[in-house]
Amino acid sequence: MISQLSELRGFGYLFRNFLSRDLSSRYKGSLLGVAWSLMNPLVMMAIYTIVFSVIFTSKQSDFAILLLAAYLPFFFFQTAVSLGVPTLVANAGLINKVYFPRELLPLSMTAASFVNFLLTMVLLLPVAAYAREGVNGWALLTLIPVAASFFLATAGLVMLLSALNVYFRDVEFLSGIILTVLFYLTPIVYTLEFVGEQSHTVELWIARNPITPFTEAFRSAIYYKQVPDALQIGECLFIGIGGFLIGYAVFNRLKGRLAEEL
Amino acid sequence: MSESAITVEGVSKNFRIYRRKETTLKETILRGRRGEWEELCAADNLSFTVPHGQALGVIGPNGAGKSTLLKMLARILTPDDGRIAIDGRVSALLELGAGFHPEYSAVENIFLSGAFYGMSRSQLKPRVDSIIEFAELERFADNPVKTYSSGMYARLGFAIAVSVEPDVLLCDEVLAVGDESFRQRCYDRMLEFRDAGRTVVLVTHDLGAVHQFCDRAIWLQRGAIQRDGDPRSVVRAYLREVNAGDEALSELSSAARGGAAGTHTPLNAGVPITLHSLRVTAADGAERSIYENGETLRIEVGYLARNPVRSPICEVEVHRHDGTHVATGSTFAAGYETGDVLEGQGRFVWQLEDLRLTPGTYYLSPLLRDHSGVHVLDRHERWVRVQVREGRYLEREGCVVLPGTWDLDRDP
Repeated sequence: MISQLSELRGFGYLFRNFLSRDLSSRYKGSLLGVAWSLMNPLVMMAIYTIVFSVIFTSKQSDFAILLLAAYLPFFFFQTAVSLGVPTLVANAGLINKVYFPRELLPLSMTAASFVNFLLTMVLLLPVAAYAREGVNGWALLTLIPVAASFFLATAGLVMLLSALNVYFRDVEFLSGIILTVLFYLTPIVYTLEFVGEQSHTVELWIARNPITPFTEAFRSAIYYKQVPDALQIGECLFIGIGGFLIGYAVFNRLKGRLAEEL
Repeated sequence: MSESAITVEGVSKNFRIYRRKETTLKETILRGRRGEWEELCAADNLSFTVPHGQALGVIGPNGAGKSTLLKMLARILTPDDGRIAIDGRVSALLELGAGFHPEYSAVENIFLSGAFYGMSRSQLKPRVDSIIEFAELERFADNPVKTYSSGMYARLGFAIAVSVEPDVLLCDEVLAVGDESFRQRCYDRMLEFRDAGRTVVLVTHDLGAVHQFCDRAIWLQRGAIQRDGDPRSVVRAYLREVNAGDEALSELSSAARGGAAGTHTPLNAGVPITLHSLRVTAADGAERSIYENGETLRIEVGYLARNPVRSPICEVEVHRHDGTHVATGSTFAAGYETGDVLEGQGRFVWQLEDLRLTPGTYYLSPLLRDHSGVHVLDRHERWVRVQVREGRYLEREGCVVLPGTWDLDRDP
């Protein structure tokens, strides 16, 4: 794996090429261009703000911030998986004709979603600072290793699934359904504490969902303005590094036959 | 730097030819396996090494595993078994326009393609102009490549592949679409490459090119090396095998015509007369490989007779590079009586007053028959390669320029 990673260094320019393509090509020819990729989370922000603070008049103050602090990281995960899983199949022509480290394709798609995520975060933070009367700088700093771990875990999963998708095209559709289920199994439209009041067993299961530590860390830093506890950050790092290594190892096992299976 | 540029050790590759392929999970689980398949062997325990600075030609019939071998060398396919080691940077021209983005211009594609070779933008920048120039695309450099012809694709692809300074260049038949002058420059560039100590592997059906540009040839047959060595002998052995079928056919047809069944190509020492040379010269006597049409050509077929031979018939077949049989010059058909040829050496001379061929590459194959025309005494397939350029005639289509005049008759 070390030799594979060191080979990637020589392909930095190709990676940037893929990344800018993944960032912009979907919107090529449209007037707003890349701005479209921010449209979805922005509209979600608006809808949730209206629905929960005006219509339901939620007990929770600033419910939109509470929700978005967890929803934006989840949205990154969701776009990375749904766009990244078909990426090897979609680039079959390239894989059959030229050599390059194949992992660049799922990696660049994940990175493109991550760039969008960072942009939406930049939009969210001033709104959160206004609504929650300030931010906790230290708490935000701890989000850097959390976000990096989340990127690694997602990249590992996307590599694994994109390679499996070459062998079984079901993976693409299956992952779409699982993402929907996962959305409700992650504390986004509710809080972990709220579930705990209803049923302790369900709370435990939701806490075991590997995405929960990440969304909870974001929520605690942005909404509650608290530094996530060390155990939580440690959990994120563990999932991030472990997820990446497992995903990459499986990918390396499967990548040999990619060209002929496509 | 290791001793050899390419090391192939016991490499095997089987393809699964699916009779029915299950690509969905449900079917796989229900059947317990992924469809039914047959194994097709594209490489069967191949082993060879290529030293630095060698130009290797790989020949063989379709389906022999040539392209699979090249794809494994290029790391697109992984061998099932065995090991491939390549010393240095590889650049591969496997398919037309591979790695190009159709919406990008030539210049943007140079950066994209270069990135696939692991180059950075700053490494590519100084090469852009020379690539565009070599590909002769100055006028079209900013047009999207989707508007390009296949020849332009090939030129750009080749120009990029050689400009990234690879240590090993892999080429699969892509040059066939370029025009004659570009092919010539490609081959020249490959020779420069080889002389600079780099390695070239060329997969092609153009046996003349293998003859002329390669130091070594490998003939693949059903995934195995049938013959490996000096290009001339490998090509000849390959042609003999390919032509064995054809000759059996022509024997059959001559027997049907009532003629004696021919004893063919007796290349052994008992032959009374052999052809030992073929020279092509211009009117001024200079030996060249490129001529303009309309020029006068002298084709000299040198022979060595060990015994006197009674009025043999000398023929020279002219084939275009794609295999089209264009013409045959024959002493018999021309009404020239060679008379009895005595022991010793000499030349049959075929003088072409006015070369009426369209621009392209042609191969000359001399042939000697006995007086009856039935028995072949000696023959050499595609012995000499001649290039024809535009001279007196403007025709570019077809093979030959027919003499004639045009007129317009109006009905009153």
